[in-house]
Amino acid sequence: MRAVARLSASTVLVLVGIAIVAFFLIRLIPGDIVDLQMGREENNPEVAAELRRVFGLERSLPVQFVEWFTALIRADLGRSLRTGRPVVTEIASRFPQTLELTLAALSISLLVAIPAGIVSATRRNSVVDLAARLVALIGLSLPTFWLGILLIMVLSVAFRLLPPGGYEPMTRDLVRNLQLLAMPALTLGAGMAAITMRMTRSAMLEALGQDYVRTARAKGLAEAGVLYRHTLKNALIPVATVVGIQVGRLLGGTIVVEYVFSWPGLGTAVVDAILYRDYPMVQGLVMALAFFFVLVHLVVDLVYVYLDPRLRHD
Amino acid sequence: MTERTLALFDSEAAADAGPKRGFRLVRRCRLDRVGLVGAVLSGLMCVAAIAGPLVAPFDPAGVHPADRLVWPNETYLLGTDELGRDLLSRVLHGSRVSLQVGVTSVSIAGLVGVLMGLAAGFYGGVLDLAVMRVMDVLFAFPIILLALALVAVLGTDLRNLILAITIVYVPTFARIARGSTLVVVAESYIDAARSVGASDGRIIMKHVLPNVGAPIIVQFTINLAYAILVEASLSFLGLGVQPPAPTWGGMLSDGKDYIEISPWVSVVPGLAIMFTVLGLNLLGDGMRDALDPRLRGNEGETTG
Repeated sequence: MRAVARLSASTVLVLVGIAIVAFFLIRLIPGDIVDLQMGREENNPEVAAELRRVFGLERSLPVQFVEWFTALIRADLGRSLRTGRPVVTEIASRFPQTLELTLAALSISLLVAIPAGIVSATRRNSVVDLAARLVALIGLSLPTFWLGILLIMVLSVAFRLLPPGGYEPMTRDLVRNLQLLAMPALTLGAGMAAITMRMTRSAMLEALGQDYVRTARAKGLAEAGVLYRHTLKNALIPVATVVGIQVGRLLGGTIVVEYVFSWPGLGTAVVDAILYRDYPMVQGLVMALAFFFVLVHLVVDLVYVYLDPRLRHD
Repeated sequence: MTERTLALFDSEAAADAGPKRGFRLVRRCRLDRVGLVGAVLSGLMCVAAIAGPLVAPFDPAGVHPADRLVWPNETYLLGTDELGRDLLSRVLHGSRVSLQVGVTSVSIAGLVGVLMGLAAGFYGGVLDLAVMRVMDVLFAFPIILLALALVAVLGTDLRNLILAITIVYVPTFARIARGSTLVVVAESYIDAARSVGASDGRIIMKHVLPNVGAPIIVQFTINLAYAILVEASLSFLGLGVQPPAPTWGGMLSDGKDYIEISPWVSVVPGLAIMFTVLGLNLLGDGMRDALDPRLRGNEGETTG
C-alpha cells in the first residue's frame, strides 16, 4: 500500500508540473498571443487591449498563474478561438474517437506481439523466430505515416477493400465504423507490436534461463505448465513496463495517424489547432494528452506492483 | 550448453568496465553481423548527406513542367514529383536536412542531458531532486506532442525545429547518465580517489564519465534514429522544415495526394526514412550487445 501511495503522490507532482509547462508554453510565443492572433491587417489597439484583458495578460505572471490554475481545477480551460466553444467541450467531443483508436491499436499489437514473442523465444533461431524478428525490426523502423500511406495504396487504391479515411459513429453504423477503424488501428499498432514482440522474446528467453524453470522441469512439470505458470508471468513484468511506455508512443502516434486517415480525434485536433493558431486549444490538448499519458503510466505501475510481489514491500 | 557458457563469459568480460573499452567496441562490432549491417546503412546515409548534393543530377527545387509525375527512367532515375522535380536529387538533398537536424539536436541534447545527469547523480540531494523532477515532467509528454507544441509556439523554422527536438531528447540522456553515475559513485575506487585528494571535477572526468560512456553512445544512436523520425513526422504535418527545402517528410506529404496515379512519389522518401532508421537501430542494437549485454532489456525508451 505504501508503494501505491508513493506512486500516486509522484503522479500528482508530475500533473502539477505538466500544468506549469502548459501555462508557460503559450507564453513562450514571441511577442504575445494577442499580437499573433490579430495579425498585421487589423492593428487596432483597443481590440488588442480588450483581448489582453480577456486573456488576463495585463496582470503579473504569478497572478495569471494562480487564476489560470484555479480555473484549471474547475476544469475550465478557456474557449477555442476558432469555434468559441469551451476547450473542455471540444476535447470531450473528440476523446472517444482517440480512445477507440488507441484501444484498438493496443489490442491488435498485444494480440500479435505477445504470442509471436513467446513462439519466437521457445523456438529460438528457427525460421519462425528469424521471420518474426525481421518483421519486428522493419516494423520498428517504418514511419507510421508512411505505413498508413502504404496501406491506403494497397487496401484502398489497388484492391478497394477498405475506405481510405473518415469516421462514422459506432452508434450509427457499426460495420462502417469498424471498416474505417481497421487501417488506422493497424498503422498505429504496428510499431508498438514490433517493440512489444522484441521485449516479450528477450524477457521469455531470460526467464527460461532461470533456475526455477530448470527446477520446474526437473520435477516433471509438463512443458506447457513450465511456460505459462513459471515463465510467462515473470516475463510479463518487463513487458508491462514497455507496454506502458509504448502507450505514450501510441498517444503521440495518434497525432500523425489520425491526420493521415482524417480520423476526428484529439490528434487531428492538435494539428488543426496549431495550423489555425488556436492557442487555448493547443494548450488544452497538450495538457489533456499528457494527463492521459501520465494516468496510463500510473495504471501500468500499479499493475507492475501487482505482478511483482517484491515491489509491494519496497 | 557450451554456447550459453560462452555467452556468460562474454557478458562478464563486457560487464567489467575498463580502459580497454574503446578497443573492445571496435573489436566486438566487427564480429557482430547485425551491428555491421547497421553501420553500413548508417555510413551510406552519411555519405548521401555529405556527397549527395554534389552528385545529385538536378537542382532539387528545379521544376520541369513538361516532366511532371514521370515514372523512373534513364533521365530521372527515381522519377519526378507533381512539379516535375527530380526525386533522386530531392532524396539526396533531403538526407542532408534529416542528418543535420538529427545530429545537431541529439548532440546538444546529449551534452546537456549527460551534464545534468552526471551532476544529479554525483552530488545527489536537492540538485538531484530538482533536476530529476523536471525531467519527469518533460518525460510525461509524448515526444512528438511536445516537439509539435514547441514548434507551434516558437514558429516553424530550422533553428526552432532543432531546439524543439533537443528539448524532447534531454530527459532520456539525463536519466541514463544519472543511473550509471549512481552505480559508479558507489564503487570503492571513487572513495579511493577522494581519499588521495582528487577534486570532484577530476573524479567525474577520470572515473565517472568513462564508465557512463557506453550506454550514452548506444542511446545517442537510438535517439538519432527517432529524432530523424520526429523531424520527418513534423515536416509531414507541415510543421517542420518548410518548403521548398527538400525533406523526406515533406516529400511524403506531397506524394500522398498522388498515390492513385504515381505511387513511387510516396515510396521513394518512405524507403529513405525506413533504411536510415533501420540502419541506426541496428547499429545501436549491435553496439549495445557489444558494450553491455545488461542493457538489452532497455528497449522502451524511444518514440517515433
